[in-house]
Amino acid sequence: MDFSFSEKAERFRQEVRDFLAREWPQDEKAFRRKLAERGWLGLSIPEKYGGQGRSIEEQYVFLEELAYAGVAYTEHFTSIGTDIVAPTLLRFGSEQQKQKFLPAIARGEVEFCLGYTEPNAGSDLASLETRAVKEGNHYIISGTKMYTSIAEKADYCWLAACTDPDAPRHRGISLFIVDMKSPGISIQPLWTMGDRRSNITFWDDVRVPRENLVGEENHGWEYITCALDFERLVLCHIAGIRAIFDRLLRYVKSARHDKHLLRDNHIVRTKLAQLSVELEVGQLLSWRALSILMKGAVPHYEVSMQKVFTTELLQRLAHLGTQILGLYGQLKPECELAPLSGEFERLYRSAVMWTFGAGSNEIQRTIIALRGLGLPKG
Amino acid sequence: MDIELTERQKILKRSAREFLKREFPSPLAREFKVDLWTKMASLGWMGLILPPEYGGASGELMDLAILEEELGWALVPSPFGSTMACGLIILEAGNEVQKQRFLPKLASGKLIMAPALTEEGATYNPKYIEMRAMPSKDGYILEGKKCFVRDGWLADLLVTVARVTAELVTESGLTVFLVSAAKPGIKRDYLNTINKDYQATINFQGVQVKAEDILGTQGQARPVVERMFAYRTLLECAELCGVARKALEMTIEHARNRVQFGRPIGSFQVIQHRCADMLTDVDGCWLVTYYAIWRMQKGLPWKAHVSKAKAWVSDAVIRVTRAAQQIHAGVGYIVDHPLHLYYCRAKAGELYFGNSDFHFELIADELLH
Repeated sequence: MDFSFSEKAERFRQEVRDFLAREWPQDEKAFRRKLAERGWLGLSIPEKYGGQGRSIEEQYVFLEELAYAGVAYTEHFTSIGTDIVAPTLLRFGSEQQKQKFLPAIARGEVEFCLGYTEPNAGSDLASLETRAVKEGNHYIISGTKMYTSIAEKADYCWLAACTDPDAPRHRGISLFIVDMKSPGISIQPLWTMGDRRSNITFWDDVRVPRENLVGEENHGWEYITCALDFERLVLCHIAGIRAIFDRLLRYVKSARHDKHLLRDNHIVRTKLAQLSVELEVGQLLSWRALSILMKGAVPHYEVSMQKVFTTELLQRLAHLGTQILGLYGQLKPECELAPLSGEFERLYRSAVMWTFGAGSNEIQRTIIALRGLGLPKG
Repeated sequence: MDIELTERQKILKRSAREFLKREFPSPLAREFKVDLWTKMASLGWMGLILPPEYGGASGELMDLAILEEELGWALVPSPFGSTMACGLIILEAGNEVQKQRFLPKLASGKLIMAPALTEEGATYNPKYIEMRAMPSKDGYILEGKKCFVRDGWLADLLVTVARVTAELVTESGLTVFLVSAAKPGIKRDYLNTINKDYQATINFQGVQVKAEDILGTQGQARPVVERMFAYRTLLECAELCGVARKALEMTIEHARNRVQFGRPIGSFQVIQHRCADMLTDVDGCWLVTYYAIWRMQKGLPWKAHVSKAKAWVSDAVIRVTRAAQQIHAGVGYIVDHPLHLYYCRAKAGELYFGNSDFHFELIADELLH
């Protein structure tokens, strides 16, 4: 039994930590370029495709350090290229696609947005309605995609569409890489309560060359569902939550309300201690899932479990932080008086999406029940 | 990062499971049996962590935890945790004479031990201990009362904490004594509690002990008590891991078989989601417990982690057993079904060695000092 990282991973961790101490925070674009220069956008990509071919363990410690430093991977730049596109192309893509995209992803030269969710297809993704009709050497794609975050900056869309409406739902879906400069794509911003922009995207007879079909036609569902585990493990990272908690602790250590030291308030002490216990559990659930992935095994339910736990913990922390701050907890980041730069006011709004995004917790609990406990399907 | 039992540990676990299935097939049996204890000794369970010179196999705390988990799973009322916590501390803090006196006996299953810390104030904070060890011509005379001594009713040896000086509400003067329960002046009263754990109130009146019965240094009980308490707590956490897991397994079995409205109730989402949360609680218990054990074994800072383990496990086993009772509904409420024993065991486990409130305060101290 070992709850520690290897020496190699710890050395890499220190390298990343030193880098972050020098380079973060700074302008996101510049930061991304610095990461790309070091080859750190291609950690999971094999060396022959321009990446560093690092182990899952090293990828994890890299993301752990970034998360703790506050680099919100999905907020400041998408991880879709490295965490979804690259692994899928490696397994199912054509050699031409691998040559075209993998080195570019490793160099940080391409940005991907995700075209899965639709107005009528969220948790029930298989019911998607966007159609891709074959016409000669092209597919013609039409439909509407919802929550296509970063569409306005992306070079390509990793898009799921229906190529066989007569097949049973899961067997008629295909995956495409769509050039965002193609005619027929329109993007409409969606502003969320978390201060983040997303988009509705409209696809109007968008022509996609055949070589941009990923893998085989009608096998898209298989590609979508495989290799989800690592991404799900690192998306709402426990280390990021720990960083927020540590900042709250530092605040509590010196703050006073009504001349009383917050640190002596029994209720505050109890709630912080409770949250720290939950952080310990969250950390261990993440490491356990990592341990399984490191062995090359397929987790049955362990990633789902840590996703549910971590995201709900984040929401509890957001709530707790605003409670402890009291009336000051409502002050927005723009307000000078806001303690901790209004972090908790903002977190309280942005944390909402984590329990339904990236695989809603209801679905995750069903996965735990069916795959983890062998309960019968409803 | 390899969070799994080794092959050797899996074998230990499997063999313990098989052994207990044979020797203690039903939790409804509810009695401590000396011959079961003797059989455990002959399998080497008590000697596991001792070095060969005391008849042991040089195992680790984690091995004991694996055995405790199985004892919890089968719900065996046994003084194993109490005895082994004392055994570990004698091994660590005892002098050669003490080790020779007690450890071979422990290995051969002839010695049941229990820590005697808590008094009527019902706290685990040693600063509030009042029992006196008055210096006398032959050593000390113990006067006082210990309460809620788990396995105190069965113990041959009580690892007792008392004050050699008169000042109260302080840690200074606290001393650990190894006291034979057969000594004149010791009177035990059995406590009837929600769980079968042989708790006792123990009165000490004019109990003579010698200087050689002191474990560690006179007036400096802290290092000994801290570690003994940590061992005891972690072994209890391990036992509760087994309790919670069995309660969950029984619940899954029930959910699969109980048919209502034409389908197994385990196919309803409400039940599925509740069970998913139970599994999170159960897995969480195992992870926090074994992580704290790993840290102690590695010599890493462990205090906060032991408290985090007990805090989590205390509340998690309550949630799991409550959910188990709810899902079993009527059949689980009848005493012929063993589930109520797990439910009651969980409540006792929550209370022993500090519930979550007690440990939250210790954790807060470390977070906010």
